[in-house]
Amino acid sequence: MTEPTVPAAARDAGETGGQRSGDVLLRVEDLRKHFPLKTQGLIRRPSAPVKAVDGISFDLDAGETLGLVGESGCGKSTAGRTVLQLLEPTSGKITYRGEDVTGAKGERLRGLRSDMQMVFQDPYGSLNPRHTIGTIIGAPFIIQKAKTEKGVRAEVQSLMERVGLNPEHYNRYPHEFSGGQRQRIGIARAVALRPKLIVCDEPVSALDVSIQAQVVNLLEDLQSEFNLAYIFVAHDLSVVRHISDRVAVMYLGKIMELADRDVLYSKPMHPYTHSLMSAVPVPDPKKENKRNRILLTGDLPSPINPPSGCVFHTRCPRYRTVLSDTDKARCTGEVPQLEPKATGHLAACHFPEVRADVAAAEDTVAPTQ
Amino acid sequence: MSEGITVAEVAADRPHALGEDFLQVENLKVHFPTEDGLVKSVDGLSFDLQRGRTLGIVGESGSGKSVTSQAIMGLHRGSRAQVSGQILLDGEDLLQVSDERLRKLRGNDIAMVFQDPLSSLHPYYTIGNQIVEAYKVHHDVKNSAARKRTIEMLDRVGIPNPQRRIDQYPHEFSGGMRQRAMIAMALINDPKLLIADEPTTALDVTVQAQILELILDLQREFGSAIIIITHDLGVVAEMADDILVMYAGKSVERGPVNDVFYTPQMPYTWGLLSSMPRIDRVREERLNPIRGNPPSLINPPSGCAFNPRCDFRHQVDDPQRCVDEVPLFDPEQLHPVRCHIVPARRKEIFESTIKPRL
Repeated sequence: MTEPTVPAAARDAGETGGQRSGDVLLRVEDLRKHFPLKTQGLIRRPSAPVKAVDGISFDLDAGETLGLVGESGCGKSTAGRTVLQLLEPTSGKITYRGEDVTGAKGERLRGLRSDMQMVFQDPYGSLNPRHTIGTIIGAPFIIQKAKTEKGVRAEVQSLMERVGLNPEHYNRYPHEFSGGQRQRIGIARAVALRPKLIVCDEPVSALDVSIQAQVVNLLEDLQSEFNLAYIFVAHDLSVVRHISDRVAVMYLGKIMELADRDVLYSKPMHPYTHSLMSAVPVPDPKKENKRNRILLTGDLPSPINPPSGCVFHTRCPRYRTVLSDTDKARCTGEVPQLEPKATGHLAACHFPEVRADVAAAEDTVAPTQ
Repeated sequence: MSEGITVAEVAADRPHALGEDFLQVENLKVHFPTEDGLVKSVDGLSFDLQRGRTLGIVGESGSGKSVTSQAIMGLHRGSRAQVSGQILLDGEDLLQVSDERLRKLRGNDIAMVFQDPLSSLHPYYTIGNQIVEAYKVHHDVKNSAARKRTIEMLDRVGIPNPQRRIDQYPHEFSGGMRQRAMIAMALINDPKLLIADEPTTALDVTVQAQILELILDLQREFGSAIIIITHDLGVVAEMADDILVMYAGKSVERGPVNDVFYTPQMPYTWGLLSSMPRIDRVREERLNPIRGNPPSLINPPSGCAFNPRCDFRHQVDDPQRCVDEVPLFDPEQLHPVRCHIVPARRKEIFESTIKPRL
């Protein structure tokens, strides 16, 4: 792999959102993934595509965690998969360590795979029920023909130990494990070849509350041990806040807001982020009764035919209640770009407003910051 | 800020009609014989609920919370499940009544909202047909009257354009809309008891907020008793008046919502509350998980089912009791707890160790 060649100036905090350090591992520019649709009937002509991911850009540093949040259908999972090229991008550019890897195929793509891995949401569907745990975690070594010091078995067993599984269970099958343990198996498989980047697609949402914390802690330990970068795709805003350094909020295939974790959670700017934050129920009855909840009306518009201008304007509380007619015309006519509205704080909104009151509490920012 | 709704304003006028227990569950047991042994999904559960009140049942998967609700609905009838105990609804034992009587009660007096609205609606019938049927079973009315009532109800739960939507199929509805249709179906006969089993787990937070608001609204209007079953402590904090925490088929802690959230007494509840990342608190560097795995229901740990995962066993004068003896749970108390640690010591541990962590 070549050394990073991205000029330092381009990584200026103001342009990329958030406080940044270290080298850029991954750069995603104007990435799009459209799924073509066919019309119904005898003659099946192509019609308007589903714009699952529609022009997203971000950088990711080595060892950093970028949280990707949004509601179902916002394209966050598709974004994660397209970055890994499990799905072929429709357009856009993916640069890994300074090298353009968009559309890599065959051997080249396989080479990249040992650096970029994925942890899936469903710990039941993502493990082959006919393979033993040893075979599953050992598969990356075989596929990549990786050299191991003491053989694949010893390597797999030390991995199992590392993620908190009993190495003696090498010959057991996935059904003999609980959900949390299966997720550990998926994680062991993902870190087997010491990748640099792991896309975690809802890794804890299928787990019980008491087990979620175990898996989140494991992911954090592995990150500091192997200097992993994570793209953490999830809908649970509390978990994302805990694990992420920076957070991107997605809506209808676009990034609406991108900033440092503490900034985003204490001073959200985009009206969509406001409603998302205010909707999270907090486990504290008194606070819960005092909450100022911004309810969104209606459903997510169709990604086949997204609204004109700002895709959020059809449900935007600010558009509905605050803006004048000339301002509204701008929302419906002009697509807002994701650009810096404050230092290190990107938002795609014509009329952003910092609101601290929608966050669950005033003490969201750690005093050490 | 004009678009904000303060939950406190609405909470204040929630009818707290204290009085007669409307639902009384006494020593409920639901056991399933399997090839591997007897699965004791619910093992001696007791609680009661008044009209206009909401009980939140919290627990992890396998704790028996859904099986409890199915037992109340009588959904274990005709299966291999062994159900014993008493479920008194307005004095009538639901475990003893005839099938015919249960059919009358089900849908009319007790209704249920299921977790997964796609698999609980029939894909082959329109939304309207399914709701009209639910109404006509209990009301001797003409189709046109039932249809009118259905449109009213769909409108009431916030489905836009109900005249058109009523003739659509479940697949034409989004997840939030389907859940609304399910709620419309559950509420069309003004049930006195509504059981909502993870009603918002499959939904996004913004839709979840809408649905929870809707359920509270309808409760204010009809004064129903509600049981809400969830693993999300945030949801119960918003919805419930009382909370019941379940572990391995047994109740381990029960009390008014503020008591359970602000002065929890059972080590499992401590673990649950301190293991979750909190969006409303200063971010912690590390999460504090409960160690180990949820218990097997076929071979549950002896004594207190939580003992293998409990960090506070040494606080019991004779820790062997945790393994040998199931702690008692006195449902008559205001805030009963199933734990061998003596109450004074528990309070001490909570104040010194747990509270700073929460």
